[in-house]
Amino acid sequence: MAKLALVTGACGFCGGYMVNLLKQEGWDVIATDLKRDEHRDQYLEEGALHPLYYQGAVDKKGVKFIPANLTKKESLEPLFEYIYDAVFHTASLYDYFAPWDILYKVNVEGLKNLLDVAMKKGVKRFIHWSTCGVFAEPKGKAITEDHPFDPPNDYCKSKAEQEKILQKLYKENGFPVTIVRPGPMYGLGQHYGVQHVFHTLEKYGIVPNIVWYPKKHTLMYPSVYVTDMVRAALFVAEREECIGESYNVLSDCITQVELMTFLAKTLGLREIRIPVWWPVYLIFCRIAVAFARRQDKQARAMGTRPKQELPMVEYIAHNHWFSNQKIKDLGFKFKFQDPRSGIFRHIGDCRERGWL
Amino acid sequence: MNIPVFDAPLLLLLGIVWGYIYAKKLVESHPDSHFFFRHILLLIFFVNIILSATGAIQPWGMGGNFAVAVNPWIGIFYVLSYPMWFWFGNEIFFLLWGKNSQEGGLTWSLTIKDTTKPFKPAWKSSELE
Repeated sequence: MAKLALVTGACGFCGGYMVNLLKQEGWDVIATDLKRDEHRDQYLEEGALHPLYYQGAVDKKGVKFIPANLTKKESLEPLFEYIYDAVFHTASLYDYFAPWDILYKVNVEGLKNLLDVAMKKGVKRFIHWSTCGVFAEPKGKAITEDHPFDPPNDYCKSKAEQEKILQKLYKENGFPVTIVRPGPMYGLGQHYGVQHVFHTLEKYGIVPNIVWYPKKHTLMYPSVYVTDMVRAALFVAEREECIGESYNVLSDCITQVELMTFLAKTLGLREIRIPVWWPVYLIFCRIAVAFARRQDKQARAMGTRPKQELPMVEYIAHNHWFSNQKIKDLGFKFKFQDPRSGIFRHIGDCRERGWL
Repeated sequence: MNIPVFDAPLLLLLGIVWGYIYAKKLVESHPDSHFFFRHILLLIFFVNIILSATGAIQPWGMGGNFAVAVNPWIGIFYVLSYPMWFWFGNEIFFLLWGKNSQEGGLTWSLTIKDTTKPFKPAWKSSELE
């Protein structure tokens, strides 16, 4: 008999890929997300990002779609008329521009609602999508799963809150949760986050490649191809030893200098290398953040969004260096271990569609 | 040797103005126009300075007000730098405002409203979802 999975956020970017993978692997799938109209209305009402709504995966044969809204607990009840072998909770408001109260309502209270209903009915495994962004800055080595939290923005803060709830639930009730922390994700259909980096460079028409001196300050770049991400989620869902654990899921980090050189070649843009002394770079970052803060205010007053959101600009002084050794030690093999192989493919897909 | 002192800044300015015309208006409909305009323009400047240096005409036919007498080697060096001034003007524009109507250059980040055009698919595929 086929195993049964619930995928939340199934009409989102990662959720759609999760549904497809589960179907390929012979699982039965109940998919849930907001209804298309509700999705549009809610996002417009709350002034949050209006992400694309992919119905392709849930319209497939063998996938049952039950619309639900995380912020309305009663709408979640029909989902748990089934006993699931695994719940893949990909649903989340991923929006750096959204105000804290909306993020809290959807990501934190929404999770609480889902857990309330799920715990009443019982689930065998609960795979939760967090983010590598919950961590504090690394100190001289790649961040492992036990590194302390210090989320730099509201979105990451909401993810850290989610993790605290789940870890408490695991410790007190033995709730069978596994947390996966993706690095910035990309792949066909992704329009927010990593895509902003590529899009911005294309709009610049050049690739400014900052080379930091002294070299010990060189910043790292984390990322994961979406298919690797969903494979990793399924991988941990099928292993008992992963219960109560958390895993960083990302390709091997490369330096941002390497990334920019690669992007210049792949996007066909001119690379301009800018050697910078680290203290001077920090001053530049402060100016950039102050400017982004001003644009953030202006955009809110105009009822629109800035091209580069404040938290994204704030990231430019952070070192995003994460270790994926824990999941690799379990035996998981990344298809795109070097992110350049995945990024190359992704850029080709985007070029084909006119997204880059 | 008499050289027109304003040729270099004029070429720089023309480089910026032509950068705008080419990048935002002509690059898609007339992609070779940059090559022809650049060479014709430089040819005009070279003809002018050769004729004025030989005394056949006043620089730009405007009398000696804009001409300065310099050492012939400095004059030759100045004349040979003409393509660089025009190229430099082009590059300033392309860097700050982009090389085509889809690009916005480095100033793209400074505005909230995006006035650049969206990208077009780079190739046709029959296998798109």
